[in-house]
Amino acid sequence: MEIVLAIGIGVLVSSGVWLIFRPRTFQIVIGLSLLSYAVNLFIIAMGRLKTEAAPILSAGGVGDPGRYADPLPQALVLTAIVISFATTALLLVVLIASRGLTGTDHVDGRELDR
Amino acid sequence: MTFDVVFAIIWAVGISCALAAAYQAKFHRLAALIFVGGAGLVTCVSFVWLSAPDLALTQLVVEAVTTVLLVLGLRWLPKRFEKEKGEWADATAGILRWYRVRDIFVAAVAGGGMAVLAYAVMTSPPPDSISNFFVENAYTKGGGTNIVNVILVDFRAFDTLGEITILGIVGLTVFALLRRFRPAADSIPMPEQQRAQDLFDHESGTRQRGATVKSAMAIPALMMAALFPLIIMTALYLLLRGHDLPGGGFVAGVTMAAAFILQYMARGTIWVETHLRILPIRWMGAGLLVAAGVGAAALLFGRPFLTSSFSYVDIPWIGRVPAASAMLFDLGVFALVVGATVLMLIAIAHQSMRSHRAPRASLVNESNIEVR
Repeated sequence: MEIVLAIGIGVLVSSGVWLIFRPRTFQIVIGLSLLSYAVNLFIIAMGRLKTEAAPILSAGGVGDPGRYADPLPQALVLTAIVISFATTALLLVVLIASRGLTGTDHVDGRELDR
Repeated sequence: MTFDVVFAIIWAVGISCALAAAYQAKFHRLAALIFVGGAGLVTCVSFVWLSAPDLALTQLVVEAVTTVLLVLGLRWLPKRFEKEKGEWADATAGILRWYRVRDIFVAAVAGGGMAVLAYAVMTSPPPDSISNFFVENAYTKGGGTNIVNVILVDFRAFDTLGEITILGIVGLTVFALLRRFRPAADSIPMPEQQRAQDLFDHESGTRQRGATVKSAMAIPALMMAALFPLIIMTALYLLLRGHDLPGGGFVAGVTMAAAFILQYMARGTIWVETHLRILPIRWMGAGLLVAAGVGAAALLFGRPFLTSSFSYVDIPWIGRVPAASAMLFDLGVFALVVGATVLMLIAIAHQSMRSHRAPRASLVNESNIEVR
């Protein structure tokens, strides 16, 4: 189980890093999306994996930490998901604006000289 | 944890999606977008599997909204054709090949490193962290059974206040950037598909211009219009249950924003902008004021900023209802997320209006300089 998730995170990071090295702006947006999935899963993995242990207290009172998955990484990732949506939107709009100004979608703002 | 075949199969799909997205992102943008969606859904399923229902909910709705946003952006990117062999000079082609080999190497090292690191941490025993405090005190000190939500709106509310401020700033930046947006000359004319549909309508003789796309969208449009109140109700339900069950201000806010963007898809930009007054900037302002105001109210009682209090209220007919000031804070988060998300989406959706107008005189002049 751990090995599956570890390989999954690894492939997401590789695809994301490869894409943010590419010259076209859309590739970079896609690459950052993949990287944000990888980072979110990585943070969750830091709390160790647990199934059927959602951090919802079944009854009031003092909770037993052994029975629930680690809630702290989850709280961090929850805001990270929304923030990564916002940064993707911002990046997309900056790219569209740069495309409007320069007429090309190359990250340098001009095509490669032949 | 024991090896699970189903989990492995799901991740086989996720890994293929990630690789396919990386491969297709240059020439087939829509395909790449679909593959990224696939990888996102696998992430979402993993969250459910690994006991994180709040994350799965949020990931699912954010995924949908991100896809809509990127599809709206695709309209303004240039067409890309696959290069034919021999188009680059030999020296340039050699350099490009070397870049590619280098990038694959760096990407493989980065991915491999992350995989090894993640595996090493996951298989080591958990350290004694502050998480235990949150689990033990979520109900006794925060008054809610959903520990993740209690952390967000109570224990670490100052963090959340900062995050929604960032979200608001990003929303305003997107809005400001797009107000001055000038499309590139070659993406001003109508898209090819739209021209083909209009030509078909024109040639048939009996159809109005735009009838084809209207009839193709008739049933989805009816469904989306009918779902509008239902989605809003779902959003409010998620908001209200957030303190005790999976849900909360973030996911509710994005769901609400999805309701609005669906109306844009169903009825078209012009109809929505003449019939609905959404005023996203007011939503954002109100949200931030409520969140900060709830925090400041604690000062009146001589407590530190953002201290929350909770008690139970007896409401006739309904019964004992938990009432925490943190829920008001979550209401502020909700309003700001609705405002910021809707502002970003409609700012970019509104750009489609530009292509329907005749290009402005200055733009025509610029592109005709060589002709004259």
